[in-house]
Amino acid sequence: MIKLAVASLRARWLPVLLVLISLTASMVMLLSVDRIQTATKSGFNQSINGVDLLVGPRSGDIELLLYTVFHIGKPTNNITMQTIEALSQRKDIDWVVPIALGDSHRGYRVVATTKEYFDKVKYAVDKPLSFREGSEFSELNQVVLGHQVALELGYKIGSKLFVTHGSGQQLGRQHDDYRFEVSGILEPTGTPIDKGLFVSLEGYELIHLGWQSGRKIFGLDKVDVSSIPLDKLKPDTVTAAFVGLKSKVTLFRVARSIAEYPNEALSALVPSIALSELWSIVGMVDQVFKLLSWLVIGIAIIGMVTLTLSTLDARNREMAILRACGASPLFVSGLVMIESLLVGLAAIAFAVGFVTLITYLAQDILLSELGVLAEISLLSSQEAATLLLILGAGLLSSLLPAVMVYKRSLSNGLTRL
Amino acid sequence: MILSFDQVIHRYSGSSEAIELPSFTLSPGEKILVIGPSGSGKSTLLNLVTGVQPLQQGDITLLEHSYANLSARQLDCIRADHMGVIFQALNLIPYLNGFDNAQLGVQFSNKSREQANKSRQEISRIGHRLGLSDEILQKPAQHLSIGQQQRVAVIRALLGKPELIIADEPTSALDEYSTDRFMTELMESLDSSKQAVLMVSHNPRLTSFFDQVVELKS
Repeated sequence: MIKLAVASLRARWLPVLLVLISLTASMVMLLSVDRIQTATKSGFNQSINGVDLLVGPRSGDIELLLYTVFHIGKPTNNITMQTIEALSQRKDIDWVVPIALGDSHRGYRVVATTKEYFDKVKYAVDKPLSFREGSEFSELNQVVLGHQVALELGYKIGSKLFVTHGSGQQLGRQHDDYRFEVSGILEPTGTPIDKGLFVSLEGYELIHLGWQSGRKIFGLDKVDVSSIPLDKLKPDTVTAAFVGLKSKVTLFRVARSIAEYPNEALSALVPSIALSELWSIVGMVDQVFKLLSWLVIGIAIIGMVTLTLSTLDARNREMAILRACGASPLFVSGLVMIESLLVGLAAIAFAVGFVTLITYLAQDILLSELGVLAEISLLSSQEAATLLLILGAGLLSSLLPAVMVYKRSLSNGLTRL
Repeated sequence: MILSFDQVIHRYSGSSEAIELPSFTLSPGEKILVIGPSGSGKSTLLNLVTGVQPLQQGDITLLEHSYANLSARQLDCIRADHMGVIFQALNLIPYLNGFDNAQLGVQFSNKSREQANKSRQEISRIGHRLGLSDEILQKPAQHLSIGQQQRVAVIRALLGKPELIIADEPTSALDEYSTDRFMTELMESLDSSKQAVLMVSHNPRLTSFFDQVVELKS
């Protein structure tokens, strides 16, 4: 039967090819949307990993998450270093990495932190940050670049750059009296880390020495920087802190106790919970795309059924010959369904091959342009289930022409077909 | 006896009219021609004999199998195992070549499926006898002339040596010369294989090729 179905499809190659293309294209669209959605969602949910708690000044969870992880918006307040030190000394806390935000460089946020940031903060599923080139900062004037910053701005190890005060690029707000030198460039992560510039807290404090209330009072070019003792560059406040616990079991207890910290108004949030809340808001767009893809697939299946129905009259003779040779009505109608099945299977094979190839070819572009780390995989179980569902829908739709063929085989004689 | 057609009456759906078909029997190797004008029931008779249309009244027996006691599936098997069918035209599936078209005859038959491997040589042998070379048989059916297509249909009908060959006006698309040649080749093939034939035609010139003529009234 399969040999006959293949021969029949080959004989009608042009309309079959067109249906195959439309079905493949719609499956490619669905798979692509699905893969981008999965990669975006997993990238989004894994924007930060290895961090048990985000601690910042009292504010909304989403707000704290947005400016500490996604570098969006402005922190409303700071937390003191005394609080950070108090947190570090707690027995249930393993490590604390403070971060200070506020400055930027050509649209990319500057994150002032400690060297531990590169050890403790992870991305995706427990992947540590690694350096594509160079290493972490060890001097006041050194900066580490996220992958996208280096790529977009064309910086290399040893490149020199100024930092702008605040997030804009207003004139007169450049820290143009102190240049940072690139010491390391991170590997791509598909997270906001790719869009960050990382300097030491001391270096960050240094460039703000001559500033008061957001205005430069004196420039560092008039100061002998090397004569400033390092402990004088310890900041009094930071924006937030990433916290790692000794035991995950204590997560909610520690979060609650930090939120109730008596000396300062603090917020402590669990990143994964806050990320899920945020995704439930921004993930709606993907649902719309998915709905559109299903509509396109529906149209392609209707196209396949239309092709089968339109050729049915022309194939009456073929069916009569098969019946005359002893084929049962079930065989003849089964032939119609097998043809649909073969077209559906071919479309799946082409779509999976095409999407895999495109994922492979566009991996770098997706990462650099959209910050989406698309993993190359042939077919996930969820995708396989989706494609089988489409195949099932196609087969179910081919039941209509198959039933028509079956009825004609019974009602028409050999000579009237 | 191969076939018995006994007091068969057929009513068409949606019509109160009934057609009474003449009774006849067909012995091994015997050739019967059914002639009659259009609308006399020739096609109905063929559809009933092949078991494609259900028997309503009377009885048809093929090799001691009474159609009245057989299911549609069993009738399909009977047709595959014991009958070869030749149409008046458009006998072949256009996208299959001559060999594959001829082989369709044994594809659905339990009896001759075992011989399917040997059938290619058999197709070649019958083809040569009917004037069709292997080269012609390799061509897709749509590239064959009408005469060549009819002869491929004959090969398909003869292959596996079914006891009964049903032919529905197989010469209607052929000219006089080709008709004579086709009928001579067909009858010679049937004589050598001792297969019975039931042919329907409106051409009275063909009666000389047959042992018995059944005439249908309009």
